[in-house]
Amino acid sequence: MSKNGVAELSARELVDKYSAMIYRLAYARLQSNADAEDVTQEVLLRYIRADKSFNDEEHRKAWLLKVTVNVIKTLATSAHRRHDVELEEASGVTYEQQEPSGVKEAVAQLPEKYKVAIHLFYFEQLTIEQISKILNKSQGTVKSLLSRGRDKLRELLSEEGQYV
Amino acid sequence: MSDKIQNKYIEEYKDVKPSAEFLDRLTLTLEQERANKKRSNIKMVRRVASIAACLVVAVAAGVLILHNTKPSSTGDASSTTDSSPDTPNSSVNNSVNIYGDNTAITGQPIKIDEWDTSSLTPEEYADAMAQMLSSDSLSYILKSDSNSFVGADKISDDEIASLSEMFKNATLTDKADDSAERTYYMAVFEDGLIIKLSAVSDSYVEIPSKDVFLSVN
Repeated sequence: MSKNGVAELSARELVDKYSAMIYRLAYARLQSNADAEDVTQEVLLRYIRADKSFNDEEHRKAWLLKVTVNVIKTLATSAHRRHDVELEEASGVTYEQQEPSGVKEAVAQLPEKYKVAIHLFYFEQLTIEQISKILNKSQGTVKSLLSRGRDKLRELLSEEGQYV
Repeated sequence: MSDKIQNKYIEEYKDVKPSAEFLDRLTLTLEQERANKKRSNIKMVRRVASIAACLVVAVAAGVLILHNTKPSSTGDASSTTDSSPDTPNSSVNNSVNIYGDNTAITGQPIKIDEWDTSSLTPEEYADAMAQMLSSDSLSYILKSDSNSFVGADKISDDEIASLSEMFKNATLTDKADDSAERTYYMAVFEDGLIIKLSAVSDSYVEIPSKDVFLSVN
């Protein structure tokens, strides 16, 4: 069975091939295993419900990443999550108050708007054009996000004397 | 950006991955979703086919009624009625012919399994039946003393509710004695599905076409 040239994946294949990618992007932005699992499930359910045709694997991957970004946005702005974050902040335990012990932690301390772009660039190694399509932003905006994100990341890591 | 930072980020993020347990659960959920989607697609095709068949039957019945109610050239109205006694119900009969078991009406058993119950146990079947009878998809239920519903009356919402309750509390049993007194029902759903069932002295409910016999506590 195929969808216009690209093979249709079984549930197991879909999970094996894409769940980690979705999970990591969600985790990079939301910093919660439970939320990352929710996003992963929701994205793959949307994939099945959409029953879309894809030209190739890149097309499918880009679609999944775009949907992931949308689901992350929805979850990040949900009342439930806002409540959790407020409780976390009230308890005084925030990432901002901890010193980063690695690049992953340093990225976690970046302002929200930089995290997804940085992750897509660093980990998924997408081009600025690809990221701009996924984030639905201009290439100039993406360049700016990456540049400022990099500067802030360098600041965080230089404070710890790492990788500079 | 420094390659060193990027390499370290990749290295660190490789350890960020969902648990095997979550992936197993997710796979199961996706398989179920895919199966549901296939089932709903099949239902949609069947529904469209049902509507199309109903339209054809309605048109045919209309033509038949017009033809048979046309005054004869001799003006003998009674002879027209005598020659086709079932004419007023012909459209009903034809509709029933399309779906479900219409043995009692036409003498020709035609069963179309619109309701896929192959994966259900009889108890699950009873629960599903209870839900279906209390759902919005139910159009009406006819009640009869015999397994024939030509001219039968529709039952009230209260009676539908009590019938649904009977299925909720039903447990699997052997077929009730054939000689026992039965009340027969024909449930008609919006998508064209028809299910015949019967109740025996408020103690048993049966769906003969499915060979399901249930005891009511």
